[in-house]
Amino acid sequence: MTQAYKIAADIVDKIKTLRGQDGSLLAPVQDINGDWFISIQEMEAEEFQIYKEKYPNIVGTFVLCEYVAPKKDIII
Amino acid sequence: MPLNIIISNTISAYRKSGGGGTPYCPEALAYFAATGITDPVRQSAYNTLILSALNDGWWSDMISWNGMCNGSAGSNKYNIVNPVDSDPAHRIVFSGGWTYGTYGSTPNGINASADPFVNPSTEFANNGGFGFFIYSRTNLFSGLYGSANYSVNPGLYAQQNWAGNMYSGCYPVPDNAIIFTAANTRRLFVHSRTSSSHSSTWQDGNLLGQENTSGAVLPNQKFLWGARRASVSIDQYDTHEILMCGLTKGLSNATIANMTAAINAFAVAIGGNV
Repeated sequence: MTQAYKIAADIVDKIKTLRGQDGSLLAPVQDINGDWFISIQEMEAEEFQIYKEKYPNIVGTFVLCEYVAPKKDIII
Repeated sequence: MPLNIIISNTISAYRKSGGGGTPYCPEALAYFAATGITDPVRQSAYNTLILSALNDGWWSDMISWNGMCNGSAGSNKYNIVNPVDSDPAHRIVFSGGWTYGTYGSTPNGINASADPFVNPSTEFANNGGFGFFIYSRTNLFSGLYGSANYSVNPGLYAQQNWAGNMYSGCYPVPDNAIIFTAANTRRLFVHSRTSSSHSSTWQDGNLLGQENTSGAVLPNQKFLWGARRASVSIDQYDTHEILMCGLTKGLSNATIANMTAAINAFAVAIGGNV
């Protein structure tokens, strides 16, 4: 089972604008049901910790739950 | 002794000594300054690697060249041949979930990718030379090391591992790509197209396959490591641990041999060889 942090759809655009202290980007991704997630690695990355303090009412509320990727065909 | 040989020997001696009283060449010092690498073992390993590239003549073939074994996004992002923190210098911008280890960086297979700001259609000549390489520390016959406009013509992909075969090169398959098999997906893979009619793929210095390709226009879309980009959206994510990777001009067989030996020696020197 893969776990990731579920985020509200209405903050996805905001999340995409956040840049970490090393220059990295957050990459919200949709699961098989269309819900939005970011990964555990992103939540734990040192370079993004500043946003937990800056936006405690947004980032602090993310819930860790099961993530199932959309099925994609392999096309060669 | 002819003047050009004297000058060449002088430059080589300067690089080997580091010149200016330092043990490292200026190119290595610039990389250490950008990345903050201070460990003498790693500094020596990088210096030896960079000297090999300079003295064997493949330094100028590198467009984007990243050590992914420095332990953080902030230290991995710098292009070895141009360690400037800017998109035109081909720094890498990491997206999504990565684990940054001291022997390699691993994308999480959920949402991770890395953008070296290389658009194949503008960086390389259509129907002409281009190449890429990746040192993988993971043996896993699935996933894709990287791509630009995968499965759409024009497209480019850095090794799709699928159903027992591996695919490398320009889309469409099979006209512009090499299809091959390998015993595992570890160590250094190099793909090089030296002309509109010839491509080859190598693993650890051994030729895996070569094709009389028909060339193909390169995609007008940025290349990504660790993900499969189909048109504008990413639809597959990879999980291979990467020790080092790069995008290059077309590489000769001799260059591939030299580069393979140098990168393998680097991997051994830092203890990250597999």
